[in-house]
Amino acid sequence: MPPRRTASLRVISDPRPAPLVPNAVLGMLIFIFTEAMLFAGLISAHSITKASSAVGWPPPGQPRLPVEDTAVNTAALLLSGVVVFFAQRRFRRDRAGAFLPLAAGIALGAFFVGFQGVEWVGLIREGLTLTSSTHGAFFYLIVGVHALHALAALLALGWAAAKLRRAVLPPSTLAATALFWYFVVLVWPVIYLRVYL
Amino acid sequence: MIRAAAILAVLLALAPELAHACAVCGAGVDDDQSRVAYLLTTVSLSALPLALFGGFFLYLRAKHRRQATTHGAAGRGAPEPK
Repeated sequence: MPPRRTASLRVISDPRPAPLVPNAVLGMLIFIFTEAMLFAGLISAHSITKASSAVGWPPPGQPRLPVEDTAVNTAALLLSGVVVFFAQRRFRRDRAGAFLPLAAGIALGAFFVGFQGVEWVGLIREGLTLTSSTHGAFFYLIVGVHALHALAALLALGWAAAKLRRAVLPPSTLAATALFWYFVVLVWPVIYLRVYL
Repeated sequence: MIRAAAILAVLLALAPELAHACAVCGAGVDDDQSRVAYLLTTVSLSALPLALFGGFFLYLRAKHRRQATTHGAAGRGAPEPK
């Protein structure tokens, strides 16, 4: 019987320190910074046009925006942000237990987007369109860009929830998608204050 | 290129109203409300990137210090190698 050949095993530990911020979160932060500038530009242009309007704002003959209904919708969106935050905290202690609050956050977010769709249908019927006035153009542009971000963030959260269900969700993925949702949630009150009020 | 720029400059000098064609540059500059709006948007657009990157830098610095303190404490608490 030939002698058994053995190889020595050398364990090499990674000498680099652990990153301060996971790559997924860093990438998302950079994306959010650029998107924050996009919204800042849109809101600035709206503010200047509103202030320079010679006929008042909203222009005469244009429908008023549903301020009270949107306040309720804003509360739903803010609540969704809080629920997702709790889901993220729960994830650290009990991964499976984070699914329910995450799903609730997604449902509240979907309610927000759906409610906005209904609001848009009503406003279009009342005569506020992209071409009816500068007011309409800014409204649909700013709120529409936000709605697109909300949809994208909801899709990302849904994807994260599906991974969580299969128990293959890395913490950094949840952190990055939740961060995107927090951005969508936090930019909305600014839009509400500037565009609706 | 230089010739084209010169022709453009001459045209603008002959028809100065073209220089005011920008939809917002000359709008309502005389009233206070739009002046304040210009000022506030200029300040917010200038300060926002600084605030975002500055806030992120401060967060990273605080996290790095916390991590260094934790590792330092763990290192001091570890048993001496024999």
